Amino acid sequence: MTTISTEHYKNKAKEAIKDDVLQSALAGLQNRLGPATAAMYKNLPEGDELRYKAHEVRMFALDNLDMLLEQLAQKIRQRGGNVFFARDQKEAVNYCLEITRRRKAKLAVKGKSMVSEEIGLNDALIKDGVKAVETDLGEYIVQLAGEHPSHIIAPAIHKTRNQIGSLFEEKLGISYTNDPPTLTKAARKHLRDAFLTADIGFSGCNLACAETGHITTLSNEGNIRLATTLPKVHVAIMGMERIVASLEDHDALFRLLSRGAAAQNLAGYVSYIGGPALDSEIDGPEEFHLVILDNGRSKILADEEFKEILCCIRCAACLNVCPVYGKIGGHSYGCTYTGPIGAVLTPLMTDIGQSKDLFQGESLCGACQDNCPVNINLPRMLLALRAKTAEGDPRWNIKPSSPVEKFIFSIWSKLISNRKAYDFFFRLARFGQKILPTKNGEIRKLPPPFSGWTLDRDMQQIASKSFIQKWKETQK
Amino acid sequence: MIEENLNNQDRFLKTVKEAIKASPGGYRKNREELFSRLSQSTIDSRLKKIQNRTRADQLKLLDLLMEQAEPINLRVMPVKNLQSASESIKELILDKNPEWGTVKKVAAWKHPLIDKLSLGDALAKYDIPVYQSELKSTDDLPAGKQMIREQIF
Repeated sequence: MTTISTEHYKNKAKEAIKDDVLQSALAGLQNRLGPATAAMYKNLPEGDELRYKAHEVRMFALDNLDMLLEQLAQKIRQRGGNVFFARDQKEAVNYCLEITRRRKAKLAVKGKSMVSEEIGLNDALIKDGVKAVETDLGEYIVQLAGEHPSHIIAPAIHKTRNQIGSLFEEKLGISYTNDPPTLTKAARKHLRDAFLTADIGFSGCNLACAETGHITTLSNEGNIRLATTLPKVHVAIMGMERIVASLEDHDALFRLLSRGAAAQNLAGYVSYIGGPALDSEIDGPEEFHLVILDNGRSKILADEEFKEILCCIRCAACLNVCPVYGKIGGHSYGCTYTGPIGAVLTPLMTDIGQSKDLFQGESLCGACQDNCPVNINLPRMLLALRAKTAEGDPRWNIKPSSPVEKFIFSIWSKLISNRKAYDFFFRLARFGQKILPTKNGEIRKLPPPFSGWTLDRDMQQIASKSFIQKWKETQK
Repeated sequence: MIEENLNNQDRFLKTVKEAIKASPGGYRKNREELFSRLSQSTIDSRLKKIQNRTRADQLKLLDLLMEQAEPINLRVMPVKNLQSASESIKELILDKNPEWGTVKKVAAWKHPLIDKLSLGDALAKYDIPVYQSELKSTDDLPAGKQMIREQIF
């Protein structure tokens, strides 16, 4: 799902900033989860050391990814499961459709899965005549509304209880109410029917374990358990990087994931799934399929500058502290992955040039890295992306975005390297600024090509004397 | 299909391996060294620790469980013996109203510990059936599994 363009970004961001309800919801989310997560990291017995250890665990997995994936596939197949390696979203979707067609499936239930959003699975299923029902409450709400999730963990954060009440009245045929327990109960009833009659269940994978041959899923609602155990077929989709070597590695990562995502010690439901039900087991899926997806990840893995982004465990902790996301919301990004993680990952997986607003729009405050459970250096990669658009990179298919800008900065670079030229330039600028419109001692409007800078802000005038000049005068 | 999938896998993993080689400086291990980093002596000592836990150690763990259970709304009910366990569960079932409709039903996993609770007998006089997840016969597995699903669905 991508509708990335500068026009979309600007228009949606403006809409979001004017939306008082959204602003209140985002502020509430960030004020609650941001500090709570930080406190939970502090209270870890290992302190911050655990985040650094988790980073090492993830990097180790990336450095040995081929062997880990091979081991995982072997173990799952030994247990009667199926594993499919999908190079791109088309291969992944086609594999899923082959299963639904073979099983003559009419109804699918889905646990929350960003990777299934990434490949557009729901649309493909619906086009093929399979009703796909999201079972995470937030995703269910967003699906009923015909919208896309606006947050990785809280997909319906942009909706009020009143809006949900009206939505449920329209779509579920219940009397209007804005009481959350009543609304939840209504959703629960509808979803229970879906769970019990679904032909196939889809899920993502929080983290796979190569050594034991399991995928693990975490949820607080229990919906993933129902979606992956009740239907006769379970299909799990995972990004190829979502794997670690051993169960020991899981320990650190799950403790951090739950803290990062929801300021919890651990999710309510942690499930380890390694294959279909054995013949001797009385129930469980008859078929288990794991789809392992590349979709641009191998290209990122091959770039030393960016492979660190594959350490991400999709907890959304960065969204919960990002001042930009906190203002513009998830829909402004126009893509599956939003916030700081989206601002790095989406350009690398799609087109850096087309997605430039995502990383240029971030403030580089660094809050994302501080809150990231695996300490990913997102600011470094945001800057690296900006450098790529400035300088160009044939490997990533980018030409320098503005030869004029490049020229201006090369002149500036020469200017500030020469003291005399620098001083002369600022003497001229002090003189020149006298003709510019001012108010309260501040410049209201700069001339082109710098006029964009003063579109929404005033600029301080250049001081009549530089610091060095004043210093020299005090020394006399 | 299997052979096709394996060829697909080879191509996929070759791409991954080349990508790893293209960004050197990582920490690559031999396959034999990737897993089971715990030594046998460490495993043995952990197992021994569990085996040798004292009652005091176990009670400390129970306290920790109860503390951690609270935020996720998991109610931990310590009881002294099987009879108390059966009684507590019975009270819990009698106290709760069915979520949908008026008929109460209980589903129980077939397990020796749960069997000893004799829930069926405890709840019989209240007309609350207890369905156990048990295959009566392995002669016809698909039919047996279908029968169990029909009790619930």
